[in-house]
Amino acid sequence: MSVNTATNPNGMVLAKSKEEIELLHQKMNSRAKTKRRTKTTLLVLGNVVMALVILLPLLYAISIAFMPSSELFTLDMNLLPKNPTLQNFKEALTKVPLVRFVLNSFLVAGLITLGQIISCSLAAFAFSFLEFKGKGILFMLVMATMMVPGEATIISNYLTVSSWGWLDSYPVLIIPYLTSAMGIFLFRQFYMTFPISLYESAKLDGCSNLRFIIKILIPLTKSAIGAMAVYTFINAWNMYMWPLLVTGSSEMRTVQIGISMLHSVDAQSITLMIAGVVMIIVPSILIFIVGQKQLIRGMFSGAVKG
Amino acid sequence: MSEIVLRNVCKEYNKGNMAVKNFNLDIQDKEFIIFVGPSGCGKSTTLRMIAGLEDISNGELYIDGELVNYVEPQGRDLAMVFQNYALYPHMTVYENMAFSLKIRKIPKSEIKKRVHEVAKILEIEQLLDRRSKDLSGGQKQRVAIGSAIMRQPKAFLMDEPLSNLDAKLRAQMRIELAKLHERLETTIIYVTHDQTEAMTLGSRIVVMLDGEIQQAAAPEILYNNPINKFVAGFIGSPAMNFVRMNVISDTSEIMLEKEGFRISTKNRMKEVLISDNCVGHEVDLGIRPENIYTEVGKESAIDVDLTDAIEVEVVARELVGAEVILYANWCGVQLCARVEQENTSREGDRVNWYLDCNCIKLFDVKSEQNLMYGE
Repeated sequence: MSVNTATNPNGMVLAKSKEEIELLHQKMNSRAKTKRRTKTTLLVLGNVVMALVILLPLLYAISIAFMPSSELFTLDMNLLPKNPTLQNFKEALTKVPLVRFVLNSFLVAGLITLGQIISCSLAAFAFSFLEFKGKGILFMLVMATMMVPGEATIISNYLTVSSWGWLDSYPVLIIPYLTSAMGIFLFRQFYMTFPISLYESAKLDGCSNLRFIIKILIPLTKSAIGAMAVYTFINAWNMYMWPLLVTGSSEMRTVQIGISMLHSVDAQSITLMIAGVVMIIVPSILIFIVGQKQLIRGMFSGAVKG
Repeated sequence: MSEIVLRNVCKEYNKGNMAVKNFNLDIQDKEFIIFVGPSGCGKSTTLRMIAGLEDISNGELYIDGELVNYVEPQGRDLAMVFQNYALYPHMTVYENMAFSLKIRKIPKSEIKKRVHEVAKILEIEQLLDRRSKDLSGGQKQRVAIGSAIMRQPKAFLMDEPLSNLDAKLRAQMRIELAKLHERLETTIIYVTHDQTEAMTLGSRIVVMLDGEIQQAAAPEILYNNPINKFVAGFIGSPAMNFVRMNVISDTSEIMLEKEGFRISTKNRMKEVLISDNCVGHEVDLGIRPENIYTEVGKESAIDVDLTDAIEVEVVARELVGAEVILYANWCGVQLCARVEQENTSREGDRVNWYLDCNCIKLFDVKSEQNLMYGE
């Protein structure tokens, strides 16, 4: 038997033979494994329960979308459709021009996103890289606008655009939202972590401000732009009050307003409406799935230097 | 050709907070100028004012005889190397180096030729296709220097370019920078707080303190003939020892005295003490660690004139390669001596040390000026 003695600094003998060491390894390893497994199982279980609770309304909505309306209005606990049908989806698509609404929403949300990214990044560039008189006060003013709730200005905005004859058009849906204080603030925070020496170096190289933004700043702040894009798009997609106020014809309605029209056509058609809702949340969810990495990376990019 | 002249240049931050005061300096073509000083002394600010990254609050800056106070950085034709390299991380090394030329709309073939030339000089040819974020510190610094060289600017401004590198790499890059200066024959203005860099690289060193130039001179002059106590203490490592001494007159002799220990003065030292009316007052004696001897008869230089022994108590011993730095207490003052490795003094030993009279500097107690400063 090969004896493998090891002593610790105090001269105490730690282990004797190879077999004993092997046994010790096995014993300690199995104990650690059991502990780890129990922990993982409990965590997964807890997460699944939480996820179910949070997702229940959404899952129930999807389930309702496939139910004939007769199944919904009973006293039985119908969580799952007994006779699943696609009828609700078909009807929702034919009763109102849902495709048109979706296209409208895409156009409006897309252009707002593009506009906000351009305007907010340029404004934030000025606030973080350029030196000019009143910079601090101007920035505070911009920030102060965040404290005015949108509802407070909605009437005066409506009067303004209606006096210009803009009502019921694409511009009225898009132009008032082409910039946002929140966007400027977010971009400025990203730019504050941007090494100023890159800007100075580019300047000495003979680079103009615009060229610096296009060639250096934008490529290096892609994650910030991605985060902003997802955030803005979802906000614009979910707009309700303003589109409701300024659009009248169904050609100009966005999808959120369109869905409520499903309701007014036939007061009993909850299933129909839910089918519409399920269809229109798909783009938001898709955008979030595609952009969630960017969103999280962007939101926290300033937090930890990496 | 590039002559840079600074006349009474000042930098004032909000209301009376002066970062740089009356900075006057004539920088000749092809000079290697070093700005050195403790942190916050205004050396980087001065460099940034020359670059155009900071406004000049007062005074004039001329490049080749032209007033450039109001010229934008890109119009000054200077290149800068930053401490954190300032490479564009999303571009390859080639793109980084070509960037400034691309902006100037130089033909592609010419850019390619120049990039390869410069890459060859700096030995970074094999890195040209790598992204700059994947490089090591030393490689990044080479690329940064390469990008600066590409444009063939009037002068290079370097802001602590080596301070992010490890000690070994720093020493290597230092030698290469010296070579590069010889090869490029351009003016370089270099900011550092590392006096080894300053002493080895500079053809002239500008020592700054609190936004003011203390002394601007060649390294050996700065070392041997410092203008004041600050320069004497700042240049040289370990720093110069300072001891406060009484100046007394004894019969026909003028002596420096401290607690019974006396140094008789001769020649210039004596003349200076008399002409400056120091007799009966105090002066600060300065002596460099290498001018303190631990044995009589072992001095290597010929014109060494040792004082009487001072009895000191050794408090620390530091082995730095070929030599030993000894720290000792003498009458409440800490002295530091640089001695050979064979020296056996240990902590707690009481030993005799001797000062070399020929290397003693005297400083006024109030003004801190070097009394023996020779123009």
